[in-house]
Amino acid sequence: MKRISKGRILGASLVLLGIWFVIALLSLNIGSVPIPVRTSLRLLGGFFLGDNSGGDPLASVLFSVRLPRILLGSLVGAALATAGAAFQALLRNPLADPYVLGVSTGASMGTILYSIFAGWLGFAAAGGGMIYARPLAAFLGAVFTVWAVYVIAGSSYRASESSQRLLLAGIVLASFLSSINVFLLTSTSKADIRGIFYWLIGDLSRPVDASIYPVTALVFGGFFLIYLFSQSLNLIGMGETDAMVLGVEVKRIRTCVYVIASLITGAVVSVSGPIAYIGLICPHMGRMMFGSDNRILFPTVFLFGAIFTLSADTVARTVLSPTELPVGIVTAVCGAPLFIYLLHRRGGGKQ
Amino acid sequence: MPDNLHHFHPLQRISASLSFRRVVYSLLVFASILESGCRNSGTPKNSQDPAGKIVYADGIGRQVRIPKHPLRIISLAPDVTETLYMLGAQDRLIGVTSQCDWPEAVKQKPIIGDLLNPNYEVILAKKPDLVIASTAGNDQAAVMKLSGLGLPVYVSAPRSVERIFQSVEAIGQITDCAGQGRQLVAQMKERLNKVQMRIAGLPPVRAFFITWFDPLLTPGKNTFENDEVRLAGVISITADIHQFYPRYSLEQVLVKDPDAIITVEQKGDPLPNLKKTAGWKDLRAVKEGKVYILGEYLQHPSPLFVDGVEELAQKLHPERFR
Repeated sequence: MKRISKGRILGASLVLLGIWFVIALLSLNIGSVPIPVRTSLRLLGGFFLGDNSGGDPLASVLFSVRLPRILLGSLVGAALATAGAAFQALLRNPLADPYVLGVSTGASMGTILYSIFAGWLGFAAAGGGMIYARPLAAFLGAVFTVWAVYVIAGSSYRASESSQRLLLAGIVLASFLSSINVFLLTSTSKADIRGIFYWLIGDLSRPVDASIYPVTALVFGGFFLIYLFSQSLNLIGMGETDAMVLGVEVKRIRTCVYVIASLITGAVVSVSGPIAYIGLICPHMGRMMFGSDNRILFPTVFLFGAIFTLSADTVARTVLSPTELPVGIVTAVCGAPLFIYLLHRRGGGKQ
Repeated sequence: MPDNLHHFHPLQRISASLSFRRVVYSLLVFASILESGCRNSGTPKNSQDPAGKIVYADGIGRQVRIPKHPLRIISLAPDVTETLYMLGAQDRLIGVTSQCDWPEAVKQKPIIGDLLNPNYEVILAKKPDLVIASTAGNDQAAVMKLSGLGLPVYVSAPRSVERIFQSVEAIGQITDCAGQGRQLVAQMKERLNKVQMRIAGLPPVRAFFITWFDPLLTPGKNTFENDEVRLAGVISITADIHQFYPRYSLEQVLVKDPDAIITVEQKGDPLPNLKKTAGWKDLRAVKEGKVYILGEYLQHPSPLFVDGVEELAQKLHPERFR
C-alpha cells in the first residue's frame, strides 16, 4: 500500500475547509431577501462584537434564518457523505449509500409512525418537552432497519459473500419500507401528514431546535470513529482474506462501521429528511480527486458533503424567491447528471 | 365594500349557447330519421333533452346532462357536502368522502372513499344520478374516470369569493333547489356586508396567513383564502404570489414584518413555540402576541367560509363587535 503523508491529508482538508468557508460566506449574502455585502459585514461585525443591532429585520434574517441553515446544511451533507463513503468502503461497492441500503427509508418510517401515533400517545400535548421524540423515532427507524438488514442477510463466514448479501438485503428492505411508507401516508387521512411529503424529499427549512446538539455530537463523534477505522477498511478493501491474515477483525469492524454510519444517517435524516445523492456522489468526487485511500477519503468526503449540500440549499432557497424548493430536489437534479459525468470520466480515463 | 359582492352573474344554462343548439339539432335530425314524435324541441328556451335531462355548463366549462330532480347525489368534496346540507338537499345525498365532517349528521352518511382517492366501484354500485366534484381538493383524473364510466359529474369551482357564490347557486340549480341557493347566497352577502360595516374606516391589517408551519405554506394570489381574508379587512403579505399554496421563505416574512399572523387550527397554541424559535421570535406580530388561530372555516369554500370571515374580523377588531 502506498504511504500517504499526514501533510497531504491535512493540506487537502484545509483547502476544502477554505472552500467551504468562502462558499458559506457567499451564501450568507445570497438569498430570498437581498442583503448588500456592506450591510452583512456590518451586521456580522456587530454580531461578533456583541453589539445587538436592535431589531433590524436583516440581522434576524442573517443570524436567525440563514446562518443556522448554512450550518445545518453543512452538517447534514457532511454526515450523509461520510456515511456513504463508509458504506462504499465497507461493502466494497461503489453503489452503496444510506439511501440504497434502506437506512434513510427506515428513518423516514420512524418519523412517519411518530407523526401518526404521537397524537394518540398524547405527545403533542406535552409540547416543548418532546422535541427529542421525533429525532428519536427517526433514529429508532434507522436502527431497526440496520438490524433487519443484518437478520435478512444472515451470517456468513465467507466475508465477500456477506457484504453482497448485506447490500442485497438493504435494497430489498429499502423498497419494502418505502411501500410501507406510502401505505402509511395514504391510509392516514390526518392533515398532519401533509408536511411529511415535503420532508420525504429532503428539506432544510425547518427551524433548528435543541435536538440539533445531540445530532451534531453524534455526527462529529461518528465521523471520528469511522476515521479511526480507515486503515482497517483499507486492508479490507484489498481483500478480506488478506485482511484477516493481517490480523484485522473483519466481521467486528464491519458491524461497528455499519452501525456507526447508520446512526449518523438516522440522526441527520431526523432533522432534514432523506436528501438523495449526497451519500452517493461525494465519495466518488473524493475518490477521483484524492484516490481511494480511506485515510484521506473520509475527511475530504466529509467536507465535500458539506460544500455540495450547502451550495444546493443556497440554490433551493433562492431560485424561486419568495418561495422555496426543498433541497432534495436540487441535489437530485444536479446529482444525477453529475453522477453520469463521473461515471464516464472514470470509464474513459486510466484507472 | 369590495366590488366582488356586487357583480354577481347567476349561472346560465347552456340553452342559448351554440353548442347546445348543435345538440338540439342533431337530436332533431335523429328524431326525424326515426320518424318518432318530437317533444316541443323547436323552442330553444327549453333545455331539456328527450330523456328529461338538463344540460348545464359546470365550473370548469364542461357540459353535464343532469336529471331535473336528481335523487341519488354523491358528493366528492367537503365543500360540496356542506353546500348540499345548507341547501336542504341532504336527504338525496347518498355518499360523501371521509373528509366530509360538517355537519355532525354527515357522519351517518355512507363513505365513498376520500378526497383524492374516491372508490370507483363503490360509487358505481350506488347508481348515482348526479356526482358533484370540487376543484378544491378533487383530482381531475377522478372526474375524467367517473364521466368515462357514464356518470354525470358536475365540477364546482369555488376558486374565489365570487366563484363560491356562483358555486352555491349552481349546486342549488342542478339539485333543483335554485330558490334555496339564491336565498343562501343573499344571506351570505348580507352577513358579509354586516362585517364590512363593522370594520368600516379601519386601516387594513397586513397579515401573514399560514396554512401549514412545517414546511411553511401560505395561500397565494389565486386562492379563495386570499380573497376571503380581504373581506375581514386583511391584506395578505403573500397576495402577490402566483402559485396556489407555495412554500414561503421565512426571510421574506422577517423583512415584511406583518402586523398579524393568521393560522388555522393547529395542535395547540403555536404562540409559545414561536416566541422561542429563532427568527420567528423577532417578528413584531409574535412579540405583540398577534397570532390568531381560526377554526378551519376559512379553508372551506362553501357557505361556511362566511363564519370564518366573521371570526377573523372579530379576532382582529374585537372592539367593533361588542
